[in-house]
Amino acid sequence: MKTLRSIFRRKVRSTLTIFGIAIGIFALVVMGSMAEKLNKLVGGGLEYYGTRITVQDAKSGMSFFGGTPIAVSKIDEIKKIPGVKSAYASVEILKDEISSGVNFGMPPMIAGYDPASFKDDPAGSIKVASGRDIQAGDIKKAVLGSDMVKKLNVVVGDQIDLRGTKFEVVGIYDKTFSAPDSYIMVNLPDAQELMLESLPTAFRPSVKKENLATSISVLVKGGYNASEVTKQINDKVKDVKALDPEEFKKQVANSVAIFNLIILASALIALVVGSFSIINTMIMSVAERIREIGIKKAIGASNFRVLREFVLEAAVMGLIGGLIGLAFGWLTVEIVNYFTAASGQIIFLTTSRLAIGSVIFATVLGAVSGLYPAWYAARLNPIEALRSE
Amino acid sequence: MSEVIVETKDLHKYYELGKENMVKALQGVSLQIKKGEFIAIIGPSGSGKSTLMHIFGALDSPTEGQVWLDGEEISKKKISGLYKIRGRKVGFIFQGFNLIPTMTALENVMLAVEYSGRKANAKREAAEILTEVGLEKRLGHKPSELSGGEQQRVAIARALVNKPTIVLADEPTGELDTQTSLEIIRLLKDLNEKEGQTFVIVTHNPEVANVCSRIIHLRDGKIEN
Repeated sequence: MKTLRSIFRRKVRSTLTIFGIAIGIFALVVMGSMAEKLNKLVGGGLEYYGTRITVQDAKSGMSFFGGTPIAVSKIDEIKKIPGVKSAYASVEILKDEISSGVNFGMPPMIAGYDPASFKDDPAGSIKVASGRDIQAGDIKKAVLGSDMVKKLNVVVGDQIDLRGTKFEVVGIYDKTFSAPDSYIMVNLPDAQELMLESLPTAFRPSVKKENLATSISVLVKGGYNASEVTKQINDKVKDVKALDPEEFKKQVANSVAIFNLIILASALIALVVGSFSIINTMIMSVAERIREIGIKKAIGASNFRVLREFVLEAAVMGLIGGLIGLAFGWLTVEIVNYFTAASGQIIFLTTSRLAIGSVIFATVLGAVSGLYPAWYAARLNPIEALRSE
Repeated sequence: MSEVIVETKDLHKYYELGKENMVKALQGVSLQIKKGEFIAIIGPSGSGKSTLMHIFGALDSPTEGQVWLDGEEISKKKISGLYKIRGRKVGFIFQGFNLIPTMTALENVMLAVEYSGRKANAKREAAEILTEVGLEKRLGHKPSELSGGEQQRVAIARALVNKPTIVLADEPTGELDTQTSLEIIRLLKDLNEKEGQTFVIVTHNPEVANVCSRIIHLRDGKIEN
C-alpha cells in the first residue's frame, strides 16, 4: 500500500508510464498468442510427421496435401526394407476442390485411414470428444475435427456433403490445437472413392480405387536410424520419394524459429520503449524525494533499503502495466478468435506460460529499469539530501 | 555518577569549498554528554552547531579527532555503515518536522521501528509512543491533516520509539508559534525527567535554552564556555 501511494503521488505521470508498459505487454501477448498458435500447429505436425517416414509418389511435389497418388501395393516392397516396423496407407485431400479465401493454418481436409493401422501407431490416433471414432467397416461415416464443427455448423447425427457425397457425422474429436482440428476423418475406402472421383476422367478406368493413396506412413523399429531407413527406401523401392523425418524437423524448426523471432522482436521493441519511460519516471521521482531519502537515512535506512524501496516501486509499475496489458491483450485475442471461429479458424492461442511469462517479464523489466535511479538514491549523502528543498 | 554516552576528543571538521577556500566548521571540540542530560547547544549561524549534531548522530564523520557513541568509536567508520547506529541509538527531531507526506502518523513512526530491524511489533510500539505524546486520536492522519504542533509530536514519537541512547533536536520549535513551542519543550522536558531520555537541542531560542540543565556555547567551531 505504501508503495502504491508513493507511485501515485504523481497520478498522471505514473498512469502514463504504466500504460507505456501495458501497450508493450499488449503487443507481446497478441503477437505471442499468434506465435503460440503456430507453435502448437507445428508441434502437432512435428509429433506426427517427425516420428515417421512419409513416402509419396516420386512425381509428387513438396506439398503434403495430395499430388500424384501412390500405389498402396508399394507397402509390400517397403515392408521388406530392414528397420521397417509397419507401413500403412492414407488418403488426404482438400475438402473443397477449390480453396475459398485465405486460411491461417491448415485448410479443411478429408483424411482417410484404416482404423486398424493405429494399433501400431497410437500417436496417430486422436481422442474423441463426443460420439465415436471411425471403425472398420464404416461406410459414408465421418468424424470431425473440433474446428470443423463450427465451420460446418453440425452435431453428431447430422449429414454433411463431401464433394457431392452425403456422410453421416458419427463423432467429434477433442481439440488438439494442431492440424487434425481441420480434418474430416473417414474410412480409407470412402476416401479412396472420393480421391478416384477427383482424378481426371480419362485416368479413372486404369486405376483401382483400393490401390489409391496420397502417402504411405512408415514406422521405424527400435534401434534403427530413421534417416538410414529413409535412404534405403529411396534406393530400393522404385518410383517413390521417402521424406526423412529428421530433415523435416530441422526445416520446420528453422522456419518456426525465424517466425517467432520476428513476432517477438516487434513486441520487445515496444517494451523497451516502455522501460525507458519507467527509468525517466523514477529519475524524476528520486529528484523530487531527495529530502525524503535524507530523512529515511537519518532514521536508520541503509543504502540497500533505499535502493530496494525504489526498485520495488519500479517493479510494481511494471507489474500493474503487465496485468493491464495482459487483460487487454487476452480480451483482444478472444474477440478476434470469436469472430474467426465462425469460419473455422482460430488464429490466437494465449497459453498460461505466455500469460504468466508476460507479467513476470513486465515486473522484472520494471525492476531493472528502476535500478539506476534507485542506485542514485541509495548513494545520496544524507546531510546534503536533508538540506535539499 | 551518570554514564557518559557521547564523548568527543579534539574534534575537527573542515569542508573544502573550491581550491583555496577551506571552511573550518569545528576546531578542536572536546566534550562529554552524560545519560539523562538535557543540553542546549547555542551559537550564531555558522558556529558549527548542526555540524556537531550531525557528528553526534553518526550522519557525518570528523576530519580529525575521535567520537564515541554509547561506548563505540564511530569516527573512522563509513557513513553508509552507520545506519544501524542511527536506527537504534539516535533519534532525530528536525526543525521542519521532516515527516513522509504519503504516510500516516502511525506509519511514519512505524518506519523508524522497521528500519531498526524490529518489524514484528512496529505497529504496537508506534501506537504506544504516539499515545504517550498525546496523539492517540490522530494515528491515521497524514502530515497534511495535522497542525504544526501535532506534526512535531509525531516527529518526537518517531525519534523516541526505538528508545535511543540520545535524541538530537535541531531547532525543534523553529517553525512553531510561541504557545506550541512551549508545549513542545515541556513535552521534551517531561520525557527527560520522567524517563531519563538524553536530549541535545540546537536552538537560537533563549527560552528553550533556559529550561536546559546545561548550555554549550559554540562560536567559530569552538566551545566558548
